Amino acid sequence: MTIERKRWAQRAQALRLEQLAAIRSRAEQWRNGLVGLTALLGVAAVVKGPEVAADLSADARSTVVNLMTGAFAALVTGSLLAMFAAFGVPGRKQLMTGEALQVWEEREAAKARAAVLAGALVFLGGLVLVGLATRHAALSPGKPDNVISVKARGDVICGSLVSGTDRLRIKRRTEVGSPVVTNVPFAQISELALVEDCPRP
Amino acid sequence: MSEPGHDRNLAYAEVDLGAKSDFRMTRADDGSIRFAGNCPRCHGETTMLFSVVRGDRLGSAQKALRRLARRRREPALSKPATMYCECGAGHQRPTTASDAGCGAYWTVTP
Repeated sequence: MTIERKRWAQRAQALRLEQLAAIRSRAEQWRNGLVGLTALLGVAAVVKGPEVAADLSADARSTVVNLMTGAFAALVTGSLLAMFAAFGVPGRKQLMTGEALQVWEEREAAKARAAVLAGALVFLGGLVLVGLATRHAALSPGKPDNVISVKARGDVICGSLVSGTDRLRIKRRTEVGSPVVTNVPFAQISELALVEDCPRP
Repeated sequence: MSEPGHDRNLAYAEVDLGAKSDFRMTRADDGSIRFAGNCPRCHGETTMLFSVVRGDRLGSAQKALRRLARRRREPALSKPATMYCECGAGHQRPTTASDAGCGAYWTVTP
């Protein structure tokens, strides 16, 4: 045994008094990381988001937007939790005795640890949602081209325009199975409009 | 506070006293361990608290998750721990010393 062991013991004793400072500084690093990542993903979503969304069908777009909204709520919550851990929130008034300070520091350190952990987990959840949104956007069928809505003999027919030489040939989605092509003679058409997407059959 | 047998005039010296077993060990609710007894060198009353510090456990997410998954368990003192005299008497301590005793140190085991 050497004097080094005593020095380590002295350091360990000193550390007892610095628990809160240690967890606060760790939380600060977490905050920097989480805020940076949130900003990065936010910028990417703002720049590329509208472009990607424009190519999606209405259903897919709504799912992706919902997922992304959830993801950003989680990312911002995670960042805020890490901030609370790093800086704390104002507490109640108390008499600053050594004992009160010790209790307060221990309690704050425990709260900060919990906030960092919760922040990291919520942030992770946000990243998972971003991943799901990206996956959904990539795998969803794109918006159909030349979508028209036609009113013929009181019926509304919505679908993609296939051809229109002597009559309109419209490809419609069906509840089950593959799309069907409907022929609508020009004479029967009372109204025709270009639409973004058709309602679900 | 008078302590019979406490040699308050003993000069400060960082002496290694080896392993000692005559210290009372108590464990607090938060898992920390306190050793109390008399310094084997100056015979002054001294205590040392080995508290549970969890700050470093957040070093990695993996460890944190493992901690979540595991039932809360108090850490055990499995190896001898170094303790030093904190009797509080002057002992002609140099100003550079950060301890508050006669300088002696030793190890304790539960």
